[in-house]
Amino acid sequence: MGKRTIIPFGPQHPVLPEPIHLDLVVEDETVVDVIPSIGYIHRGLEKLCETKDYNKMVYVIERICGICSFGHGWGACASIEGAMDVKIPERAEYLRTILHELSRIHSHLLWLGLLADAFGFESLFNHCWRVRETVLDLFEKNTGGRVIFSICKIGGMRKDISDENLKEMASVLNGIKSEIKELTDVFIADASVQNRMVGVGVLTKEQAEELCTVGPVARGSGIDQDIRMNDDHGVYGELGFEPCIEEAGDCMARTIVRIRELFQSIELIEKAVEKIPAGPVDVKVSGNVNGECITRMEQPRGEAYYYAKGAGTKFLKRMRVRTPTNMNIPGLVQMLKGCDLADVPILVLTIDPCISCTER
Amino acid sequence: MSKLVIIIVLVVAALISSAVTTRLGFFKFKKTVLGSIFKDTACQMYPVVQKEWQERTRGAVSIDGNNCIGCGICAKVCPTDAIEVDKANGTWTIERMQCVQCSGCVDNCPKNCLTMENQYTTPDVTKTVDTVAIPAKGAAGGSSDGDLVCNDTCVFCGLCAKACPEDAIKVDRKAKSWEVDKEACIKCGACIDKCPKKSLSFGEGGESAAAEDGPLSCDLEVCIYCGLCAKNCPADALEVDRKAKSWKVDEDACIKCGVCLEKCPKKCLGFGSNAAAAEPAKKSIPVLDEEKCVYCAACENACPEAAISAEVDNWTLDADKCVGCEACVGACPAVALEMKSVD
Repeated sequence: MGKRTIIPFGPQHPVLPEPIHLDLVVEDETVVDVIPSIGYIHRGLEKLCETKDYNKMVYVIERICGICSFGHGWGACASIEGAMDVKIPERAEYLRTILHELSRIHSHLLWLGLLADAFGFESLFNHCWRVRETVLDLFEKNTGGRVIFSICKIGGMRKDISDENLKEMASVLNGIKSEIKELTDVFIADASVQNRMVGVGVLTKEQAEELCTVGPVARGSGIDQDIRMNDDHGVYGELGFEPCIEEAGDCMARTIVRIRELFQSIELIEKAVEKIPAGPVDVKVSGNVNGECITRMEQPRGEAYYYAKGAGTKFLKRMRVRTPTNMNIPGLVQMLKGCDLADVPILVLTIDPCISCTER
Repeated sequence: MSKLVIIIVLVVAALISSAVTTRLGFFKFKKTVLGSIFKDTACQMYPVVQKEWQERTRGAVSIDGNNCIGCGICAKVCPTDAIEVDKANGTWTIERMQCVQCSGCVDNCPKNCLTMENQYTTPDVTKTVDTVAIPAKGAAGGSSDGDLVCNDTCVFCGLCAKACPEDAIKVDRKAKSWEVDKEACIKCGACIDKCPKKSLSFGEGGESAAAEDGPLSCDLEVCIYCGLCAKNCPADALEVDRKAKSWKVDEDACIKCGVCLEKCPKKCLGFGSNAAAAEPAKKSIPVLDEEKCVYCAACENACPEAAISAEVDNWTLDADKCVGCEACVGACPAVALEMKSVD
């Protein structure tokens, strides 16, 4: 047995787009313990929401994260709509579902690129981001923003997306399917990728359950859990949604879950574009929030939780957001125990960490 | 030359790899890589090649200072407090670095003088503050010094309350009460524009309109029973049945606001004996000038009888359904429709 050494990992590290710090306790080349610490990017957004008119607050919540900004906007709107007892039109629900799934495609492609970057496959990384650019262009055309959309509002959507544009969106996505397939085949079948991912960082089903992991991390360990199944928001019930589950619990399983979700999201968008009803996209909301409501959303990274409470004034009493990365850090610590020091960057990435979300 | 050598080497390598290592899973990426050699770059040579912005791209907010009434709603809805409106000195100021391009101000402007341009502002090394001159206090627009007041010509129709962007006005038709929340009122003047009786004003009692005598009546010989009066009545006091050719007014419910008089295409309505004289009813239908028509379907949407179908290059009118209300003529943005009488 070697001597124990503590190696600091982060907050600045080539694989980390955002700052998190891990103290890695290593013996020889093996990690035996991990002490995570956050607190480098806290911006006080929840507190800020309490000092803003609740209608302006949606713009603040959207900026919690640059990748799942639509989901955050939707979650905040849905929780306030719930507290105010507002029922939004069906077309708005469809549009929200479509944009949310589009965000998932853009998020997963981004993540696949970062993963490739983490194990040193730079050209694969660049190709993933090239395909992602198509999705960003779709966003810009339909919402006006590339990553911050500002299209969700309390009471529905701020702008309608015409049927022609939706059809075009579906056909563009259908067109990039083959390109995505070409890239994801590399992730699944390439021997050099397999060497880095298969059997690395196994999280068993029991551990995943015990540590309350969410999203693709939980589904990669065989837990049948996806908030979209509950059908309490969006139109997933009507579109026939089934979660993607993998049993192995290693890095590869988590990657395959996300790859399958990419294609599933394209399918969901195609179905939604076919079924979307005509009609208005918003209802007039007047008065102030008086009451409270909890909403859960399935973000690309897993379950996010939104709690809004108002006391009849223009300002909310409390706006709480719990993001998926928050829940996955204990799982990450478990995965890291016993792994090689060289595998740490990949393992950190497979939970798709979003530290800005975690700290808000 | 060197590129050619690389290509040949790669092709040979690919052939060998596909033959030898298919089952091992090496070189899975070769197809993409080989393709990339022959493809153009995915990136644009920015700024030599300019990116084309989409119509909806949120670039920068711009203002038409002449139409601005200085109500300050934009400053109020701005989540980052980037906008400042100084009505006293007649300036509208935006801090470009503060603005997050949410376009909340554009959506809420009651005068539609704000627009979201799809061009970004030029990059800058200092914090830019743009100031635009707007009409100063009391110079123009509906706004002036005093509080909003309503005079005794009010018929409590409630159109002002509906138009108010701040929900500052409360109207109870049954109790005949009209109230304004002076704190909430931002003096935008939207209510004054909407008031059918011109009873509202800032400061003094507003223009006094002559009280209308007698109940609402209709010259049934002229009336084409188009139903536009009933549709626009804020008090739901009118009932029009086209098939039965009947026009009825509930005199108790009628608040004599006069909205129907304005909306009537045939000008056959009036109060008491003032029923406007009109030419005898002669059915006329709209005729399309195909060269002017842009097939925008505004006429189709405006037609109360769904008599028009405006598909591209195929505009048709169901002459039996048409009641000659001229709603389509008013709605046509291209002035392509004209009423012609049917003999």
